Amino acid sequence: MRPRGEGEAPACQGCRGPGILARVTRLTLDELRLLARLADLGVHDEELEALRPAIERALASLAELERLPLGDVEPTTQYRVT
Amino acid sequence: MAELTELTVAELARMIASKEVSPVEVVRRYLDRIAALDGHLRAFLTVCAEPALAAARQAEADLGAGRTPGPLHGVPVALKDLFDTAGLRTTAGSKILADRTPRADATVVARLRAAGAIVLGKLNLHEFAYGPEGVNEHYGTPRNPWDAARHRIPGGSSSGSGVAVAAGLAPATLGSDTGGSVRIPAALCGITGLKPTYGRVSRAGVLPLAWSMDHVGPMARTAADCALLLRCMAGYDPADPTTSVRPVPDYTSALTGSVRGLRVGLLRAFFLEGAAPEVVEAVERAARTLEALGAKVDEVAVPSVAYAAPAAFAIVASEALAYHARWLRARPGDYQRDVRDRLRAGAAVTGLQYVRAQQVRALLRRELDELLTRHDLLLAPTTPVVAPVVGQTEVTVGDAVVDVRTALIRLTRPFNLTGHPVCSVPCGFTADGLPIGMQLVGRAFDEATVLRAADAYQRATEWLQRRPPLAGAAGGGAGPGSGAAPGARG
Repeated sequence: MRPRGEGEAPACQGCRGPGILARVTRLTLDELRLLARLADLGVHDEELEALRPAIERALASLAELERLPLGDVEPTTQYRVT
Repeated sequence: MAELTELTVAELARMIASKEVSPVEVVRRYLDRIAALDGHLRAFLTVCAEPALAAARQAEADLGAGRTPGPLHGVPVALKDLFDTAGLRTTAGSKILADRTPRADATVVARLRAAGAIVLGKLNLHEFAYGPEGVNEHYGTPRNPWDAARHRIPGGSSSGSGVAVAAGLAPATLGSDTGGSVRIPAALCGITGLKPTYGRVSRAGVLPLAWSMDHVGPMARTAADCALLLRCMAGYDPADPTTSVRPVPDYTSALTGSVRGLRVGLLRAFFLEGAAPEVVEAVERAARTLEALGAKVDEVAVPSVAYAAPAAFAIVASEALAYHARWLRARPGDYQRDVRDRLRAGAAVTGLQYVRAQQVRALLRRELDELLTRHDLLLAPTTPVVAPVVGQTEVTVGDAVVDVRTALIRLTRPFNLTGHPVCSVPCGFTADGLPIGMQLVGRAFDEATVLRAADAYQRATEWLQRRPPLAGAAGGGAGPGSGAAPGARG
């Protein structure tokens, strides 16, 4: 379902701003269905509705990641084995 | 002589080695106590009575034959039911793995046995270690022994490990810590818990929650006991490629009882701010105690720590979903609801966000490493609140209403991201008699200094002398809900 490209018009109710992580915090049922299908989770519509609060909380939390200017910080890719 | 189940690991090991007490008697006392109290407390999922007694008889025979005892010779321990045990079922507190019996011990279990420890049984946990409350819908939620009147959470995910030590059902236990799962139950149950540096202790044979965040650590009444256990558990393991080849120090010999000259940074922003007033008061009092003992304390901050929550979520949710996808697709109804929802929410994390989270992780590690060039230790509360009651979803802290789960892991998970060693130490009680814990954070692989400060603090304070009301006289704690967990007692 994401990420939406920078500058792309947001297609869901909760999209705010043009950031590459697209601060999606609210989802339609169709978007939830797509999300579940992409992960091959086989979740029924009624379960998706019940799951919506957890997903939207997750999205709101993830949107925070965009606020921090990470610039050229290299991601952790190796364990600290010394 | 003190009641055997009141003794520390170090005291038991010394008395067994010097033949002042028989390991058979020690194991029997613990089994009696488990039988009397655990129907109510529900710390154990499996009790290994006969194998433990057989091991104790062997330990006694070895001593009689003059064989050199290991450092934990004849000392009983219990294990979170996430650690593989040869021939003994390992369920992860789940229905999905209810009948899983590993063929080999986890590396840490094998190392504890090699040091002479005797496994009493397997301990309850939040299903698949995915929750800081320690609730379990399949086997029953363990009872925090510090409140006889209300069913309070013990903290999780290593809930049984916290309860067992606090209630005197085992002198030491093992836990795993992905977002605070050793330290949270240690704090809420009034005991000591150590999350070592990532790579210090092998995770081989421990069912994962999130590979890059999982740590294995000891839980016991004292920091000195954690030092003794860590010495036996730590070190390179070819079965876990993330383990360090660094030599393992003798942590016990580092316990000098002194903190004189240590530079301690008190984490106020984010950590003390937002904690309940009684928690703030207890941690500030602990800072003054450390100062009185000769440490130099000043206030410090980790600038990017507020981003630990989304970063940890992105990493844990993605890694946990990757591990659980097979069962989540085939047997979704066999998960308890909160865990199933949490796992499914992992599908919302994109690859981009996962990498962003790893960038945050690198940044946080850099900030902490930099702080720890000027300080030997950092000090913070373990949890901003004390143990809520089972079923409570929100807590009030100051003027704010906060989600229980978010509150419980807020202060612990930054150090799972960075991998630094942290010890949670009891540092006071609320007016209602509920324990409060504080974290001592050290440099990577410097568990020795962390344990030294924790031990010195414990020698200078009396918090460990208190006993929870539900750990009173054996036999006095049975009540509603007594009885074995379903199909679980061996």
